[in-house]
Amino acid sequence: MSSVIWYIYEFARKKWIKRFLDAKTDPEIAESPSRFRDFPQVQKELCISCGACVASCPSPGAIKLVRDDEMEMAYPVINESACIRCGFCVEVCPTEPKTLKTGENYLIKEEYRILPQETLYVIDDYLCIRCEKCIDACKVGAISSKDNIITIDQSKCVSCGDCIKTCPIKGAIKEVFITNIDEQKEIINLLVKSLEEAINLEVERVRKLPDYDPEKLIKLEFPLSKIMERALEILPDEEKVTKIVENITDRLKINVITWDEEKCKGCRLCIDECPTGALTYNEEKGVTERDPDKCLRCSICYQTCPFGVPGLYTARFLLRDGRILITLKPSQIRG
Amino acid sequence: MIKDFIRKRSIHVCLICTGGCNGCDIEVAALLSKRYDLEQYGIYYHNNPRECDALLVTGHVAKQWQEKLIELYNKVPEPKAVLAIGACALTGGIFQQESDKTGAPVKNFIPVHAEVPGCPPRPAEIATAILKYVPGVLASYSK
Repeated sequence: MSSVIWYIYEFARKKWIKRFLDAKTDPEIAESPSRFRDFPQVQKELCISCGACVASCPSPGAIKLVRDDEMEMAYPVINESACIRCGFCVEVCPTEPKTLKTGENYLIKEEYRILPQETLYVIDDYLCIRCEKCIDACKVGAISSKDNIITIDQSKCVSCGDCIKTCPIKGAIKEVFITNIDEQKEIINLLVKSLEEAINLEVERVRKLPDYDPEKLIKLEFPLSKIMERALEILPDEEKVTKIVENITDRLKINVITWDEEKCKGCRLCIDECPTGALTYNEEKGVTERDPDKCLRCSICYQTCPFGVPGLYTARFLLRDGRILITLKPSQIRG
Repeated sequence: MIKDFIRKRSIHVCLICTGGCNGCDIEVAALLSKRYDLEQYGIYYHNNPRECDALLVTGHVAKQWQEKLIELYNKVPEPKAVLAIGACALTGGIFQQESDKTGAPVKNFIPVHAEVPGCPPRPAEIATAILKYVPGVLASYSK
């Protein structure tokens, strides 16, 4: 009997009765909680069309960039039937605040961009005028100024190209290809060699003209099509080759040494001065000859020669409409 | 008339997994548990297609399943409804590829009346879809 009473007492606990009467469905059964990672919501106006979300998506066909002609930009569109709600696209979204939103993933900030890119944007400190327009233009805050030197943080950059569009100096921000390094080297060598050949030929011609003024600038043109065929054999991508050539010509400065054998008196003063042995005395002709392959363009011979046999010119370049414009300036160093 | 009335309140479903990772099947199994308690909504689970009104198809329709899925669909007595559940059944999801090994989506093989996206969908989403679409499909047969 006592055990029965004990059982009744045990089962009639106040707490238990209260729980039984208050029983209700867990609200999370019917409604998904706010932390639930649902299909991502897209806010078009924040998007910078970088494509990081598409690159991060593990499910084929779940997300793609759709072009909107009205807003003149592309934004991600999520195909719900293929989306697996992993939230990767939200995690990698570099905008602030995030374009895509789901669950609590928008709180996560990726430290490194995951976007696979062919190009790297770098600021050329030599040409930069520190106008800081690019800092305002950058949508992901990758550009910063420290000690009056403006740099691009490569881990944040999404290669959108907005900084180049705002930069007032041509060539101060460069779009550099990080692939095909060896091919790029070959193209640059080819370009510099053929430019120098063209300049040498032209200078010889210009100097013989009757109205030649040694103080005057010489302006030449070099059509890019001359080397394009050979460059395309090295790297079969015309757009890339043009870009590489443009990057190089913005900064390129060539010292050109011309050699006028007719003026040479055979004094041989220059031969001992030449650091590489590029100058040799030809006894048959009685003149000194120059080997352009060995020459360093150091201009020591130009400074040594009392007869003006070597000529020194500084050449600068500008790529425009498929032609390289060459400006040749006679050197300021007096011979 | 009375059959239609009863059918709306007791939907018998049969689950077919045609490949994939079984995640969607686990979510359907969760519906049977006490937490979700499928039967309180008038949905009854069978393993036999001959007894059911609605087919729940999950998975990316692997090659071995392609003929069998049509066979199973034909075994279901009319009126019948088909729900495709999960990203795999809708588009192939992460198994999507250019080959004959995956036949996704399910609607390439049998008519699909409702689609539940998600990888996997929440159990509540599956139950909502069954209650929302299956009675309508079943009723449309008698018209």
